[in-house]
Order: sequence, then structure tokens, then C-alpha cells
Amino acid sequence: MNKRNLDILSDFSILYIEDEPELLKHTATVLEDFVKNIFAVASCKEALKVLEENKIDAIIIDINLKNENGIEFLKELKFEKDYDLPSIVTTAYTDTEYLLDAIKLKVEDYIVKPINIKELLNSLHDLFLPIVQEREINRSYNTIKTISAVTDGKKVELIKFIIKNLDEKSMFNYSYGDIMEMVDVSKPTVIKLFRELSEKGILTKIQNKRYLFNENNLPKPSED
Amino acid sequence: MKSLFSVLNQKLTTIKFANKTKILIFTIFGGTLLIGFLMFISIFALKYDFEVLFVNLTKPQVKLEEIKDIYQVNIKETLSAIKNHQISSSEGKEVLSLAQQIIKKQWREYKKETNTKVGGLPEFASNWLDFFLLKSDKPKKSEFKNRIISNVEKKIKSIDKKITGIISQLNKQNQIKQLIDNTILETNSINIYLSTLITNNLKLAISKKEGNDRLFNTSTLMLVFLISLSFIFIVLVSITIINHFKVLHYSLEENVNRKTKELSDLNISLESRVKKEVENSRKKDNIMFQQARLASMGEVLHNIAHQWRQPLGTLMMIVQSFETKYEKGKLDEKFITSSVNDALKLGKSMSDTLDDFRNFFMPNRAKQIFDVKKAINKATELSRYQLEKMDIKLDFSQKTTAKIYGFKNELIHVILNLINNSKDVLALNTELKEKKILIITKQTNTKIIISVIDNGGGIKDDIIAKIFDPYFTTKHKSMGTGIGLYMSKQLVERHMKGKIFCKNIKHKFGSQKFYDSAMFSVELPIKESGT
Repeated sequence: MNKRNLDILSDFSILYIEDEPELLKHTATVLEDFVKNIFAVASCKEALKVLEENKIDAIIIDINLKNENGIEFLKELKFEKDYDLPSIVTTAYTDTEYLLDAIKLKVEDYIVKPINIKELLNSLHDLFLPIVQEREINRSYNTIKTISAVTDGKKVELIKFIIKNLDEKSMFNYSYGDIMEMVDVSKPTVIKLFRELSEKGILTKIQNKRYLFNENNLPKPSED
Repeated sequence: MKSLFSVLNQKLTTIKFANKTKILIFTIFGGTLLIGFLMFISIFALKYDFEVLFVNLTKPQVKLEEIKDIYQVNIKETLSAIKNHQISSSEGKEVLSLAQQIIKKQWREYKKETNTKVGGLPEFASNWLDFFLLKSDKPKKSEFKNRIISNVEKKIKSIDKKITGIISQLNKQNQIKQLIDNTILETNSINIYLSTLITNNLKLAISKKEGNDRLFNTSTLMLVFLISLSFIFIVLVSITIINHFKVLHYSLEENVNRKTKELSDLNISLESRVKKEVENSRKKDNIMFQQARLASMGEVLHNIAHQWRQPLGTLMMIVQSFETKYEKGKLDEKFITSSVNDALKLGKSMSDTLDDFRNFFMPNRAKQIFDVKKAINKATELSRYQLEKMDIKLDFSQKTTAKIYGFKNELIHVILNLINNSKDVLALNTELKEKKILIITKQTNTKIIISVIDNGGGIKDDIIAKIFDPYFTTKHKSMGTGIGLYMSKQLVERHMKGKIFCKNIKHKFGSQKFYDSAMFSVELPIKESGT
């Protein structure tokens, strides 16, 4: 769990706002290896311009900017400009002056300087993970739907029923009769599928009306 | 007498000094008055006695003698002459009647003179003195004298009658012969009476003289007594007063000696105390300087901490970037070179910041010629972070080219103190929208005036005189130690031979509005003006 898959960051564009040029430069240099695009700017004005011209997925912003305040800029974006982007704030202070505001703004993370790049990357990962997962779910769903469109529809219905009715111990507690009653399939189809799954070690019969669904024996989906 | 004297003396010594002098004055005054009074009384009484003696008792004797002579010479002789027919009857008649008239007149005068009253002050004095001396009334004229006088009067009358008879019967020689003889006899007897009267009067005078002597003796005695009494008393009181003076003198002398000793002791202890106090005050000053140094050190340290934080963050980012680049397999020569360069640059700037701090706070006691502008810039640099944090804009005209000889750090410290003072005032002023500090310099051939002006509203009149006092502060305890300005004054006046002063002015700060402003100025002698 500690070791995050930072590869997921490579799909996202990030806007980074920091008034200290050296830090901006070097942090951007590190981040550019992980993300799709890094837009590193020194002021809110430049940041607005970037936002208008590019699709941005997340914002990293320093609170104490020269003559500006990062929290105020985030408020402005959220409530006036209608940009609802996930954001991470960085600050040189450990004080909690802006913490409350940050929480109210639903800021994803509050990073105290000096920046630990691992911490920042992990934050970004945690921020993007739900998005990536949602996309993955969508994709899987679409895959299943596509498969069911081109193959035997009854089998797919039956597999859906099995997975849907697994208990917390991945046990499936139904007899053939129950299945046929609930899903409109013929008995030979059920028996054939159960045998197939049993052969592949996916569904093992423990006793009568009790089957174990073994997730680990599922074949890996081909990456392409 | 001696014991009485000593008793009196003892009594007197117990009386207070002030009372003694009162007694002395009273005695002198009272004694003199009494003696004078008595003397006057005595003189007047004597005068009275003399008058009585002379007018009543002595002068009338002349008249009596005259009467006697007239009887003897005029009447008796004339009658004898008439008897012997040596003069004519008319001549005799004339002489006799003349004699009669003279006698009558003289007798009248005699009586008048004896009864003359002396009166006036002398009599009063005499009466008073008599009363005072308890003397009985004056003796009445003796019976004897009165009888003689009445006899004389009778005789005068009878002789008068007889002479009148003689005169009227002068022509009858034989008849008057008897009468003349009678008259002569009468004349003799009257002369005897008169003589007796004179003798009596003289005796009276003698007795009067005795009384007078007594009076004189008594008054003299009294005067002597009074004078000696007063004298003794005065001497006595004087002696005790002198004794008192002596005692007083000795006690005073002793007092003075004691006090002198105390004073000299005090002097010695004071000297040591002054020395100690001076040392204490020097110590206190040192402590205060130390405190002020620590206070500004704290501020500068804060500033430096901030100045370090940013490059430190960047430096850490660079270090981490090596790891990520390595992981990504992008750790190439180009990246390493540029990153190392950047890191070195950052490290150098951090090191410079530290040097600034060290140079500023190291007790650098070497005087040097330095640029005023650079010193002011250093001070503004050192306070930059604090000012930025409080949103205060600081402007420095950068015009001066003056160089001064002295301790650079001290001037930086003074300017820093003035900036901090302005900063603290501005920080408290929440209404002010634009907070500004302006540093301007004014330069002549011999001196430079550096002024730090802020638009914080100026200094209140009631504290402007105290503003350079040690431990004077208008700020909250957490903000100021109250010695920044005091220390600045000490540094400027003692080390730089300059002056520091403040006043309230109105300044525009480059805007349209006039701000109430406080201006602190440091006037320093300059070494040379750079070109």
C-alpha cells in the first residue's frame, strides 16, 4: 500500500504556482518526469492564463505568494471562476492560520515546506487515484458490455449473477434450482459453465450448494 | 553669703538659657528703672529740703535782722537823740515814722516768706519719700516759736503805739521822757525777742539739716543697696549665661567635631559608593547594550531564518531530484551539471547571509572608513523580511556618497534600530492603509544627516522628551525592550561623535496627502565625500 503506482500520474496535467523561482524550476524539473504536463508559473495572473488555455487536472499552489495569497486564489477559482479542481497547498509555515480555510475549500493536502518530493508525488497519486479508478471501472464495464454484445448473452447473465451474489467470504450459496429460478437459463448451460469454471480453478465446490470463488485464478486481462 | 551665691547659681544653672537671658534683661531694665526713679526722687526731695531750709528758714532771718537793726539804730538811737535833744522834733518824727513803716513792711514780708510753700515736684517727691520711708508728718511750728512771734507782734504794736504817742507829744519834752525810756526798754525787749526768734529759726534749720542728712543717708543707702543688688544679680546671671555659653560652645565644638568626622566618613563612603554606583551603572549599560543587541539579534535572526528557508527548500528539492531522476533513468550529465551549479549558487547565497549576520554581530572593534550608502542598504536588507511581512514599504533615496570613519556595524545597528522603531509604530497603526518608511540623506562638506521618516502619525508631545530615555517604551512588553533608541543615542553620541534627534513633521511620501510623520535624524561628521 505504501508503494504507490506513480505511473498513473502520467495522464494528468498539473498547474504549479510558486513565487520562489529556483524552487519553482527545480520542483517542476522533478514533476515533469511523472506527469503529462507541468505548467510552472510564479503568479496567479499567469496561472489564470494557463487555466484558460489548457486542460488542467490539479493545482499545486504556495500560500504565501508575493503580494498574493494562494488560498484566496483558490477561493476565487472555486466560487467566482467556476473551476472545481483538486488542489494541494504548500506553505513555509507550520502555523494553522490557513488550515481552516484550506479544509473548507476541500484542499486535498497541506504540505509544509521544505517539500518532500515523495510526499508531494504520493499526494498527487492519492488525488488522482479515484479518477483513475473511476475511469478503469468505466472501461471494464464497457468491456463487459461489449463482450456480452458479441458472445452468448445467457452465460454473461449467469456470471453477473454469481459475482453479484458472492458473500463476504467469496462464497456462492445457491443450488442449480435457485439459479434457474432467478436467472432465465437452462440447466445444461449452468452445469456447463460451472464445470468450465471449476476446471480453471475459479469456482471450487466446497460442499453441496457451496462454492468458493477464487479471484486469484482469474486470467490477467491483456494490456494493450 | 557664699553658700547663698552658690545656691542661687545652682538654681540659675537649672533655668533654661532663653529664660536666663530674659531674667538678665529684666534685671538690667528693672534695676536701671528703679535706681533711676529713686535717684530722681532723692534729688527732688533734697531740692525740696534745700528750698525749705533756704526760703522758709534762712532768708527770713535777714528780715528779722533788719527789723532788729531798725529798732536798734533808727528807733532806739532816734529816741535817745530826741531825749537828749540832739535832733529836732520834726527830724525825729520823720525818722521814727519811716522806721515804723519799714518795720511793718519787713515784718509782713517775714511772715510771708516763712509761710511760702515750695510746692511742685520737689514737694511731691519729698512727701512721697517721707511716706516711703515711713516718716511722721513734718513737725508743726513749735508753740514756743508761735508765742515768740505773738509776743513780737504785741511788742511791735505796743512800740508802735508808744512811738505814735511820742510823735504826737513831741513838743512836750518832759512828758515824753518817761515814754521814751519805756519805749527804749520795749525796743530792747523786742530785740531780745527777735534774737530769740532768729536763734530759734537757726536751731530749726539745724534740726531740718539733720533730717536732711538722714534723708540723704537713707537714699544713698538704698541706692547703694539697689545698685549692688542689681549688679550682683546681673553679674550672677551673666556668669551663668557665660557658663551656659561655654557649655554650649564646648558641646557645639564637640558636635562640630563629631559632625565633621561623620561628614568625612560619609565622604569616604560616598566616594566608594559613587565608584560602586558608576561601576553598577556601567554594568547596567553593558547589560542593556547586551539586551538591545540580543533584541536586534533576534529580529535579524528571524530575518535570516526566512532568508535561509527558501534556498534551503530549493536545495532539498535539488537533492531529491537526483533520486527521482535516477529512478526514471534520466540522470544525465546535463542535468547533474545544471543542478550542481544551482545548488552551489544557493549554498553560496546562504553562506553570504550567514556572513552578513556574523559580520553584523561579531564585536568588530576596528574603526574603518566606510560608505554610508552601503551601511544603510545593509540595514534595510537586514530588516527587509520583517517589513515585507507587515506590508511596510521602505524607500531609500540612495543619493549619498559620503564616507565616514568609525564602526560600520554600529551605524547599521543604529539605522536598523530606527527602522525597527518605525516598524513597531506602523505595526500598531491598523487604520493606515499604506505604511511607509523613508530614508533620506542630506549632506554637507562636514557632515551628513540620515533621516528615517515613517507615516505612523508622529510622536505624542508628552513623550517626545523621554523618547531617548533608557527603558522608555510605549510598546507592549513583548514588542520593545525600551532601549533601542537609548542605545542608538549612546552609540551615536559616544562612539560616532554625532547627534541624534527627533521631531514631528508632515511629509507627502510621494503621494498627494500629507501624513503626520515622525522623523528621527542622525547627524554624523563625515570623513570624505566620494566622487
